[in-house]
Amino acid sequence: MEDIYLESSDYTPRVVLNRTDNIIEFTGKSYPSNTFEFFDPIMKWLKEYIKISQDEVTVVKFNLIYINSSTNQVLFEIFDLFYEEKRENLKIIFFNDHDEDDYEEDELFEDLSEEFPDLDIQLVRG
Amino acid sequence: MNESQNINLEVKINNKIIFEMTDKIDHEKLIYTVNTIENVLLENSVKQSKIRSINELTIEILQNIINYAHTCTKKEYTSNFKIYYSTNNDEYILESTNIIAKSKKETILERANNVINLDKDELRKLLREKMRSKKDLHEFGAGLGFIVMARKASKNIEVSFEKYEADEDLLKFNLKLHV
Repeated sequence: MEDIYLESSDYTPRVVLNRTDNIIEFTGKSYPSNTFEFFDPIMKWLKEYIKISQDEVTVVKFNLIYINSSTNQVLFEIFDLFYEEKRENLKIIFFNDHDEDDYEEDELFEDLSEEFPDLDIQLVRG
Repeated sequence: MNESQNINLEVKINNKIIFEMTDKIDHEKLIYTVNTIENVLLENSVKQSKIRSINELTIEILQNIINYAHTCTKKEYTSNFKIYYSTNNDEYILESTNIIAKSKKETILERANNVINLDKDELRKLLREKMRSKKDLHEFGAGLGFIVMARKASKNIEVSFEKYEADEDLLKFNLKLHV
């Protein structure tokens, strides 16, 4: 299984899918013209990865801004995949870089942690 | 998908136009618009959280216009998208007008009516239901745009339709959001 590394663009996130170190990262903006097409190879990689890495600790990091509603749907499906596989050794971290005096509910974090309560999901601010 | 429409884009702060563009709207122009709005708002010391809401709404509105351009045969029509801010109300208003196929009116109305008057918790629940059921998934997206817009907006979404000249198959679709 090969690692995947996609550099970010003005409208797509930096994606790190690292089998060697068990690191998964999504960073930046995500509003591709065809979101499902963009995420298709990523979903395929994750489906394969989640089955062969059951006994290993995996860290999944999200630091996303400006996401479209289709990206929202894709993230839900990624979490659903994690949830179905009942991965206990999965650490999911959301980063929110906003200043403390600029507090805003992190809707994505709130939605996903409520929908998938058995997953280990944390929010890191600043 | 190579279809596109002309669009007139305008950003006003206290009635002063600070960004204006009339051009074909496609994904490249959408990216340019999002980056420009970000820079304009940062220069005007707008908070990051507000910029994020405005730009995510801008993305939803412009991606919808691009998608609906595919259903519309009148390529010479110019769509409109405006963002304006008034210090009196301390709110941003995003307004768009574009042409749609008349056959899309019922779908748009149904999706808009489904979110009007729902509070934030009800919207969150509805979004989660839709994402789980994938009921409104379509060729160009997840069909979640109105729910996402309603969550970010500070007041109810306003939608209206107007006749487009004498063409029976087309309508003008107006959308207004407060944030």
